[in-house]
Amino acid sequence: MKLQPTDWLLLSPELFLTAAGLTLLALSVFFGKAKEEFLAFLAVIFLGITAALLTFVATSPARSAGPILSGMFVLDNFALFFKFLVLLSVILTVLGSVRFVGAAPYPGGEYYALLVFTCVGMFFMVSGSNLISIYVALELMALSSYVLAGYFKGEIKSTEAALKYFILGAFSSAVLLYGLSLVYGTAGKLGLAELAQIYGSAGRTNATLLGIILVLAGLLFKIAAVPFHLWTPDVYEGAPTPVTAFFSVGPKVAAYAILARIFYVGFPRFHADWGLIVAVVAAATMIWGNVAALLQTNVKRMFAYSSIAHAGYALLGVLGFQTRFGMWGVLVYLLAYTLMNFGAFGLVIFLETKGYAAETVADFNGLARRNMPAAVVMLIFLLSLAGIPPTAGFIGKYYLFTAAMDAGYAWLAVIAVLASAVSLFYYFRIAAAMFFTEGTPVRISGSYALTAAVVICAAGTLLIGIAPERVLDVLHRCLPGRY
Amino acid sequence: MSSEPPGRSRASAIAEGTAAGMMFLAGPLAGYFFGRWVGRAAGWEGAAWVGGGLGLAAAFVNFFRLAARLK
Repeated sequence: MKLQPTDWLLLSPELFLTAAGLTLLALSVFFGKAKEEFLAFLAVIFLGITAALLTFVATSPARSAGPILSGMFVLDNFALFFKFLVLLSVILTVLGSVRFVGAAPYPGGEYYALLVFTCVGMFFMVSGSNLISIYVALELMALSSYVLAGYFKGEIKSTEAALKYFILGAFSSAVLLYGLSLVYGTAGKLGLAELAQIYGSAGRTNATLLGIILVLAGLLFKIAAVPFHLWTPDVYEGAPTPVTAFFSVGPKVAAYAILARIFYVGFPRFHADWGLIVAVVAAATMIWGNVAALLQTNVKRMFAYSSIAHAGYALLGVLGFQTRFGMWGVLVYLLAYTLMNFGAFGLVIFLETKGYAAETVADFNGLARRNMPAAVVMLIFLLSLAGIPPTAGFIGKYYLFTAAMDAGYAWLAVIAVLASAVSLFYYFRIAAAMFFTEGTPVRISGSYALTAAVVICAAGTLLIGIAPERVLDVLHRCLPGRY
Repeated sequence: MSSEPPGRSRASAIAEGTAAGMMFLAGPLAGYFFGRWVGRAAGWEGAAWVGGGLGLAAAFVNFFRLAARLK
């Protein structure tokens, strides 16, 4: 494979981000714990420059001129949308980590470098148009994620979370790789467009179907869909809270991007086969995620199960990818989900960093009396997660449920509505604790970085909910294959 | 690393939580349709919305009762 001059230009965000990660790693050797906030500041600057480079690449005519990296890398609007979304999640995570990581007795420089490396992996993932490039990128992201999960290595829960994540992640990677090998064995190609072409004219074999099912299983693990969700609650509970917030949005969003691209571009011919599996998995995910969340009193575990349920909702869009609202709904929902879920976790961090651990629902007792703005913002996120208008969550759910109806899965849409109704109980439980329960009179004042992150999330959640037209219009131009 | 509340069986916790959540859907819907039926008889269309509002209020009352019990 020979790199063309335009390839360097189009890969500049990834190359810059890799250099940024290495720089942070090198600087962390020289900067002590006391100056670690500067590294966080530097990480945000690097991520901001990456956003500028992405904008530059997005406006470059070279990106649609020909194949990039011999066709292994694609830079359509779909990839760009997910890159911006991933970047947003990493920036929010860095902002949310400053005080939290600073208070912990572990070096912060490596932490920020690992976040940046995870971002590089996700960038390559969402641009992958070849099964091997997608797999390698996924592993780059996963390896950094395992370390991040166990970053608080002196704490047994964090170590347990990392070990569980690593073992189950390695298992799912093996399943995914086996599936990819079967697909390659039957088609003789790895490019998604080539696969679609070959499968379009060739008959269906059992080996092909098995390969596709295994690929699907590997990816469903990454998005934590039932029955591949078992790692989620323990990892979310044990990992440092900003890392949990990041896991609940960044890697999930990237995994959705490749799930959608692989099955939308590579395997549309087998929609009837994988569609049935995805439908059953989506139903089980929505039901189990919400029902299990009802049982939780630990907030992080509750949000873990909630995120499982949300993975089920987003699968409705993948299922109805041939309908008008299918992929569009996935984009809208993932944007909304990133904002509202990170925002909710931001509030959990907000309480933790002030020496007041938001471990249980009871820890939110009386938050409205102690800090009314924080309680109101949390309420916005909870309403959005529940899918209540006028919030982003409602718009996303509306699109996804409509896609399921249009695709002929009305029964699934009914399950989704009922599951959403069940979720109201555990979201309102937190709201009731904040507004109607007496709590410990602890004064709270958040760090500026975290406050900025939460405000961005709240503004986005409300903006998409109140005036969605402009955002929806932009997202419609980000469907796969559009430039 | 389970965090289930003590003293309640999993099944009853799931049943109560599900019922309380479903009430937010069923309450306003039932209230709306009952209000519409009453409204048709009384010749006032607004009764449907009043019924829906009462259904929602009933859902919240039910929710707060359960939430208070969970404390």
